Amino acid sequence: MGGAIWSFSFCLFPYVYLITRTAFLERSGRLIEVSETLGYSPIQGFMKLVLPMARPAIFAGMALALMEVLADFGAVSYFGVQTFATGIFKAWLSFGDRVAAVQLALGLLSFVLLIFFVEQSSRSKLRYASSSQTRPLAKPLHGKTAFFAFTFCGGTLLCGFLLPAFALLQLLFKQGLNIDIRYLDWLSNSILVAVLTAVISVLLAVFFAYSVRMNSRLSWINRLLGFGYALPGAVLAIGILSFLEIFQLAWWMSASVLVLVYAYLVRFLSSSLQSVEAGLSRITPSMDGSASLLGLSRMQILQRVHIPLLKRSLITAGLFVFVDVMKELPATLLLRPFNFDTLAVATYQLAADERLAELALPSLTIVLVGLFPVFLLSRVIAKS
Amino acid sequence: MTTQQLQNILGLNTFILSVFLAAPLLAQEPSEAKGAKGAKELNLYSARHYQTDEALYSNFTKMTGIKINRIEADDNALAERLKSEGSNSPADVILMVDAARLWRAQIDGFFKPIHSQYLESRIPANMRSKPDPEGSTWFGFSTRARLMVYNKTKVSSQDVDTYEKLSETINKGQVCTRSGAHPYMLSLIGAMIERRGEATTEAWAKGVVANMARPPRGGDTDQIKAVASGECGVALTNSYYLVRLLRSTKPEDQEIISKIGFIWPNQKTTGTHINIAGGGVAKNAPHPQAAIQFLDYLASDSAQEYFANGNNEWPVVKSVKIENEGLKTLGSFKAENISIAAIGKNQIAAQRLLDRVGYK
Repeated sequence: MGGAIWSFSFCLFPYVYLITRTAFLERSGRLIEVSETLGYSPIQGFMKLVLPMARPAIFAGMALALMEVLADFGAVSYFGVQTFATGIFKAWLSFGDRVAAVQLALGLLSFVLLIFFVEQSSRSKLRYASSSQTRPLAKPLHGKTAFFAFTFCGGTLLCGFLLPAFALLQLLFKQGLNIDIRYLDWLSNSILVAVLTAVISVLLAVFFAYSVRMNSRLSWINRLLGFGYALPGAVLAIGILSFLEIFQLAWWMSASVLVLVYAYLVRFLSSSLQSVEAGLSRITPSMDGSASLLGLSRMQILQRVHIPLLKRSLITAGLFVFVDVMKELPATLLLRPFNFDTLAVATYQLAADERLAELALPSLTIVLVGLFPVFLLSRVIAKS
Repeated sequence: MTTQQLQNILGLNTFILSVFLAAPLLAQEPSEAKGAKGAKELNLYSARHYQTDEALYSNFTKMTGIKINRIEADDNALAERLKSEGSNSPADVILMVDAARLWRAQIDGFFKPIHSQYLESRIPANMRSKPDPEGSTWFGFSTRARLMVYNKTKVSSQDVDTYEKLSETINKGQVCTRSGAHPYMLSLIGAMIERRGEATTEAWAKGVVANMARPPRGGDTDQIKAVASGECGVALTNSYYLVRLLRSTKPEDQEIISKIGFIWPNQKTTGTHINIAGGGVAKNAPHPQAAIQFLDYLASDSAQEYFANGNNEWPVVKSVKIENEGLKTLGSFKAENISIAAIGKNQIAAQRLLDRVGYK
């Protein structure tokens, strides 16, 4: 259990980190400065003003991380932790009982529903948009605080990334860098399907987020979409397989990646939605008001005011989906067409064959290809 | 945003979605591909997860010119997909790596019974499904055994020469296995239930759990490594993982081998548990001729030798010469003689039993 908690914490904290950091940067730098003129120390200003104002972002990140844990199968099955996900797999695969598996899945989703409901009602009465967008002046740290900050950040990076990456690199070089001839196929398949899904999901996320912004009674749609994220990939696959079976459309799976992309969208749309919603919540109604007073049409407001402000959230949204699709496994195994192995599938097959040295390259590739969008995002955040 | 703008965005999204909905209509329906004469393709659904099989498939394509389209996944995942695809399934050949799953696939009606003189003459009767007037549904092509490896300094070979001894107190804190939920373990337990009854097997499983050096985790190779490092005294493993290590030239693998011994369990009694990898023609295969050709190929000398030399399994065809030093080191052994149907039928009972005793 300890091993699983350690793995999950280091693996999933970026969800909270990325969304919240964007919130901190965009939040008025004046919040801290004003609080200081009113007598608060920086820490008090942070705890009493900045942190509560970043609440939607923090909870959005936590909700994503929580749902990822609920949906995970690989880590918990390796560490032997009995969760809903492992139970669902057992019911479905060992007992061949699809119905029992679906019942367990519904239990899981009720729990997620409860969490959403609690979070939603706790912030229903609060408003989070603020008027100014200046960045806080960066203060250089000295002495003890500098050391502490460096150790904390460096230590997290070490445990969450450097050590595992180093272990994989070691495996890779031990086996002498023999690249499997199918490697380029795996790489192109993964990237193709990840980019496709990311683009479509950002478009859909914008659509849904705006719908709710215009008519808040539609917010239940977004909550509903959110369930996909907490759904273990295999459960989603059962659902899609059953659906296709009823309508005799299952041959679509072998004919194109359509079914696979659809499964990814159901599963991952929530993460892009959370990001776009968090970004939209920082755009005040008065901004819209000022813009239309200045003569901009609705479409122009979207183009010239909203999109520039949302740029970071949109890129974060696409990034989350891209990385998630790159590493998705169970639904891909079940729903993919012929000759369409992705890096994740290849890693899994090699692991099943207990060939640890050979799987180092595909798994490192998943990590590296995921790093590239992260660098992109950091530069976008830093530039503005 | 006005309704007009919302409609524009909606229209854009609908356009994108409709492009993707149209895509499968442009793809060929499998029934159309059926009619194409001389269509040199074979659609393979395989649960074989061995990297060394690439040569097996490319040799077939080289020999016959038939291109193999593959989907590889677990036995269970394949079964679910086949169930959903129903009569429109484009599968031609289905290969599985566990006897219980083969039996299950037969019961679920995924295979088409065929007559093949070649296959029936080459493959022994106990390695294929019982034929009825329409033919046999599945054929085994290779076997593997589940044997014990032990740490020579921690445990003596007389204490681990039967599966039953794993639950005795003499082996307390020594036993390691992979997760009981894995098909290889479930088949072993299923065979045990058939031989000794459910109550005795449950008591045995309880004893094994009490004797574990650590909770089950990792695969068979991880257990072998743990035995070599001394973390475990004895572990169960499939034969081909052991043979792979025996044949390896890497120094760390040779070090592992130097620290462990292996033993064939139950030689004086019921024999060592074996499992079969095999397959058959899919029920609604669009290319049935190519399918039978492929199965014949798998029973041919070259493919059978390949199972031995490539993936360290035993070929089912007796006349095939094996040149695998690792397999020769393991030597011959008395194999268990239990019907595949029995193992298949007991699989659910086996999983429930393991859940009751807390075998993770």
